[in-house]
Amino acid sequence: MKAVICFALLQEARPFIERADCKLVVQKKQLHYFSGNATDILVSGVGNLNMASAMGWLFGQNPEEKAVWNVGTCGGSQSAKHQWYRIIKVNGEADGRAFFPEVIRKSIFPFRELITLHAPANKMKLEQVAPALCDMEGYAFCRAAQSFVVSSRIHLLKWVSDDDGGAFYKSGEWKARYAEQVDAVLNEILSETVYLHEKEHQVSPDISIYLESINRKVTLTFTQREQLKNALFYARHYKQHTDLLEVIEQLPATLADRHQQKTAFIQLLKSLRDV
Amino acid sequence: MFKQVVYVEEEIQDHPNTQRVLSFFKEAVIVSIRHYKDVFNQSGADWRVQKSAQKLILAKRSDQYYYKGSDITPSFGYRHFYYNTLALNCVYDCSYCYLQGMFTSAHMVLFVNTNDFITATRQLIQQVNEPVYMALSYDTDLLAIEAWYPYCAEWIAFSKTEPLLTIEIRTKSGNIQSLLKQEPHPGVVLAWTLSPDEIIMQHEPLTPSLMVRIRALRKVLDKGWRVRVCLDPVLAVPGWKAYYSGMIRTLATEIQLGQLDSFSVGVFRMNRQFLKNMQGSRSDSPLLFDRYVLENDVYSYTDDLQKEMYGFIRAELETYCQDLKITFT
Repeated sequence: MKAVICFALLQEARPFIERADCKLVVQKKQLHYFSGNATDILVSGVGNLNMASAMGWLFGQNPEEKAVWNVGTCGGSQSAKHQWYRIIKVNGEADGRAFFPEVIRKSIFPFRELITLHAPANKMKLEQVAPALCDMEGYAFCRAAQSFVVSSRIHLLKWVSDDDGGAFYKSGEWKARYAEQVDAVLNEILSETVYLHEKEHQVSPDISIYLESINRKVTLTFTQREQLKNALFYARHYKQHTDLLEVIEQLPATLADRHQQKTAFIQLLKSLRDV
Repeated sequence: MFKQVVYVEEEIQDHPNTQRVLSFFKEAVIVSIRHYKDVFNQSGADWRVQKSAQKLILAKRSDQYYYKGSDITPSFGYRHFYYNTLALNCVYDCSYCYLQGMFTSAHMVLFVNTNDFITATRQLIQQVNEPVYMALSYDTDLLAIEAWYPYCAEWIAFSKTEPLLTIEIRTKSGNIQSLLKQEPHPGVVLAWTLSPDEIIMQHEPLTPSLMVRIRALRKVLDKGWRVRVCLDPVLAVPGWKAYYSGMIRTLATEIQLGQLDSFSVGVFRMNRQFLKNMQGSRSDSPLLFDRYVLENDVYSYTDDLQKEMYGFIRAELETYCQDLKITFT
């Protein structure tokens, strides 16, 4: 499973692109996609629509397993400035609903709620929603990603840049402070993605090698394939790899007709379940 | 349990029972939610991943304070057999548990408006004016979480005020401190689910060992409580006869079987859709992929195997005591 870190702005992504040694592979107007060994980076452009369409583009690219992380700046009135926060609830201002990221490990960053707005929040708005943080992409990111992956693969980490409506951005002084904890943020993202991959896969014993081997000998219907999978999941628990291969070897290499195939298949299921 | 985060419905944030539970989660960040289903029914959850970081949700139940008993649970001869759901999901992680197929979430919901459940049950008793049997913990193990909130103690106290009410507290827990502090009452059945250690190790992660369970039930039995032993589900895993024979021998060595109120014995059975859901989320458990037959929308062993299993368990139990009350499901 690969982590894809999604930013609204190229300036927010820049320190991560450099640290993760990612190379630009796609550019379509505001959308930029960088690829690296450990992680990929997506830049969507500002706002809900840009983020949602970028997520649609991302998941349409390839079937590779992905965990997606929305990272970047946000506003916050009662939270420490220049501090990273792990987001535990994302409120959508537009529909009044919420998304709850599945945090599965203790984070080194404090938890906060996030509210996604359609326009930059001024000081008054930030005070009104505090202690929640405000951004312009998080909710769309979650909802769009939810159409493609399980909720435990959708996460957000936000850095409080200011408490006065985004004026910080013009001076450029924020960049050095923002980049200070890039290593810690990357470490959280990469280690949690590895952990998530292990958790997802520890419950799925690999039976593909046996399925392929049987498929080469007999043509299975959908129902037979499901029956076979169930029998293999059962047998995999009780039989050693070599014993399983031995059972499969007993299936004749060539089968003349459908009747013979069916009989051989039933015998195979019986042998797999014989423990 | 992932103790860094607890979700709490806005409406019950100041409820004294909420505060009581939260006192056990002092380090937790409290996330305010509108309704427990916003978290519990969030689409696209991976059950197993969620279970690895199970979180607590505190909520208020606003209807359905009890349900009519299911056809695949024993009713113990009661015409008015009900169960309630004071909590959803369990701290244990048994691989055969139907909750994995019933709920899309692994998080645990505790309903804190316990008085509403009690009031509704009181009204039910008045309405039927006949003995009512209420199973408290089919969708959870309440005794295991008694330290967080004393559901069992509260319902035992309630049952003492209602002569027509019998409550059942089903558990695998060894957490009996609160029971030992109370006077036994005939309207309370403490039902321990026992399994052989070989099955506990493979299929009942996080639960106490057989001996811990037996010692717990022996202590409450000695104090005078009604105790039922549930061998449910009996699993036809390879070597099952030796496992169950050994378990019954251990039980008979530790207690006089005749002292027990009754036995409830049931083989593995599962609603068709639940089993399908479970197979999709956990291919690690061979139990879910065994040869079952479908009858009336319920998967279970073949009739012949069921008969063999029931016959075997009965014979094993009667080796130690002839005069036992055994209910087969």
